Amino acid sequence: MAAAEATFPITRRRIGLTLILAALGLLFLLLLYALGTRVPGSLEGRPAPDFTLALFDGREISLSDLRGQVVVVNFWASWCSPCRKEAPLLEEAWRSYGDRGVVFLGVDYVDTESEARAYLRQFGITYPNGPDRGSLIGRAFGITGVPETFFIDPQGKVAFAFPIPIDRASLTAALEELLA
Amino acid sequence: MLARTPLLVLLILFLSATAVLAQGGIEETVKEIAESLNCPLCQGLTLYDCPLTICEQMRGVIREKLVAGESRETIVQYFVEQYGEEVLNAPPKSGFNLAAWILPFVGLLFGGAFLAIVVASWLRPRSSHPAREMPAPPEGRDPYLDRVERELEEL
Repeated sequence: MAAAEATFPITRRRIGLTLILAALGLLFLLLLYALGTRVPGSLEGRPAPDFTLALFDGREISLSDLRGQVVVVNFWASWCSPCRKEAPLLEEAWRSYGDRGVVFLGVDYVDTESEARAYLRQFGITYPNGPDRGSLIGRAFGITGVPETFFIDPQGKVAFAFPIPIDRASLTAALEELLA
Repeated sequence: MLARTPLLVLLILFLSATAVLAQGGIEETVKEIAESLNCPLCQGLTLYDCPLTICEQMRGVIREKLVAGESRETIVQYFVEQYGEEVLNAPPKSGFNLAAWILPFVGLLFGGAFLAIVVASWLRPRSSHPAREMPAPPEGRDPYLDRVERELEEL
């Protein structure tokens, strides 16, 4: 009886310790998960995350296939007013710089297909565009809204990131610097 | 020809009523599906409650797909493919998301075990823990009690 009484507090302490350790382990795992899924900071100077875009016209384009070319990735949505303002500018730049080897890619972020297609028709967009299925591309680029524009150099690194609507001067300056 | 007119009117009325009832049924299903999905852009609002344009567009897509005869499951699956699993109001019961379903019960289990241990320690007679017993009062009069009594008398 005396022996049983002597061992009881030790067993109880061991159970308590196990519970605390298990809770801490669980918290640690949750922390690791949260760190793994956190939104990246600015991508400028870092390799652009690779992605494959299923285009509205049925084709597919992978960013890695465009290595050696300057790529402009623009995130947009049909419901976004600033996107509507910059859409004609982007199309105009594509028509001017497409011949110089610049590729424009439009990534339609959190949108509905019929409205997105109507938007592309309305602004006469001719460069490749596709929906960001599952918002995976937007998440990989760490976008916080639309529009956002990324300029990727021929080595596949993000040279400039514009987490804001882009204007003609910035667009031209970024492209000229990358083509120089 | 005139005899057929009332029949025709009745038929038109019946078809209109059926269409209205069917539309009402569809709207109810749109609401149910929209309530089971989250707005993909804001926190804590369902697709049904959210006033954003995108959510209005998405509710329109649900309506179109229901009219086209698609099942509720197919529609929800379409939204998951388009906007990611975050669009689901309740996480799916698979992969890491399973944790969201299991952890509350694990928490309850751990909490219950912790409570049981604490309550057991409360209920255990103090004599079994001689080390935790209050020290015995010193022999003779307590000087503190003496002082309290003296001060009370002075009052």
